[in-house]
Amino acid sequence: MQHAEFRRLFGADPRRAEPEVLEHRRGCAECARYADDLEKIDRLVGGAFADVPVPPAPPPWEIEAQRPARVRLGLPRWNALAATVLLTLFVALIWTATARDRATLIADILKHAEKERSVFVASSKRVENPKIEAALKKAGAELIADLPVSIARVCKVRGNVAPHLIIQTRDGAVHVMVLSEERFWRSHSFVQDGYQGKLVPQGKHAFAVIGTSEAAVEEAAELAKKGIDWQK
Amino acid sequence: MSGVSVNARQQRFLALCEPCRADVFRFALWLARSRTVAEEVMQETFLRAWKSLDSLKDGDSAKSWLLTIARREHARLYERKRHPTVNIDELTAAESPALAESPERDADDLRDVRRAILELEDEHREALVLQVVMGYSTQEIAHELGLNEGAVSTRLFRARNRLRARLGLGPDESKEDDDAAR
Repeated sequence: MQHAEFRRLFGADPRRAEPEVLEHRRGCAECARYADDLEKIDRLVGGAFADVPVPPAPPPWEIEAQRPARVRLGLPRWNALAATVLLTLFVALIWTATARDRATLIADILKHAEKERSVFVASSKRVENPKIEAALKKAGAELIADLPVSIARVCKVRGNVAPHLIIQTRDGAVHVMVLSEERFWRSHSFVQDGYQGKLVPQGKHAFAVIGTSEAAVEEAAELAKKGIDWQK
Repeated sequence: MSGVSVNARQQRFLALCEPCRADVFRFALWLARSRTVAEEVMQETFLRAWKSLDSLKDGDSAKSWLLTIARREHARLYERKRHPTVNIDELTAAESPALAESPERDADDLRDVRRAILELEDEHREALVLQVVMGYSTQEIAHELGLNEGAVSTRLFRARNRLRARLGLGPDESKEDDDAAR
């Protein structure tokens, strides 16, 4: 065995005990001294921190109990960031889609109101409740309080049956369309094409209220909410 | 989880992990070169071990399992806190309790040995402690560090030769090896 090979083997692991390694150590004084040095080094290393006292520590379940719970999703930071971006994107998409859908609905109901312009007049005429009830029933709704209605028809909005009432308020006539198939989280007022309007949620359904003044629209919206409900 | 099962789990943890506490602390001290950091590494290691105790199937490998966790916790701690690099020249007895714990008999010699060890490059020191202090074979170190056995042998050869030169026992024979590698 060459000196360099012995030193390399012994330097990597002084516990080596192959016959050729031991034989070389016995036959070469210089390599034997080298081996002695390394064995001494290992003894020094082994004892260097042996007497360092180990600090006492409470059991981990006690440490765990003392630590405040971390608000973590258990996701790596980048995944959490990506999830936030995706969520934001998702919310933005939903919001955009909802806004677009609402805009087309408003356009449709205004178009319908414009078509029914001839009945959009102040009038002292009142439709009797059975006729109103019959119209509402077509959309699964019912009359639960008297309403000052001058016209009650059954129309269609976006292909769905929509009872159409003209309610007489102190500030004039107002269109109220009963939208069984539409649903909103909250009211939405608008001013468009010379009309003042409001989409009003009522449980899982809605009303579209269209007039020419805010006061009339608000009054009609309140009347509709109190006078119309859906059958359970 | 019922009270009985928690108690049994605690007992299992105490039986498997507590006997390794000294080894984990000393290993952390070797890695961190700071008693304060070593204490933190040890605490985090045992906490993580407690949380994932169910993944330890073979009780005989508890020590190896804990040392692996300690290495990761040490790396994680450095990544998170970016501890300043330890200046060995400033590791006086007053500033480093790890160095100050020497018995009186050969305190100077011991201090020199510790200083020489702490001055080793991390990769050399880590391989050496696993072999000499923890009793790992070259193969086990290779597995632990994700290296091949040849690379581990080279690190160990260099670590011992660096110490030999720093302790004034003889020349660093691995320097020729380094020069050849360049």
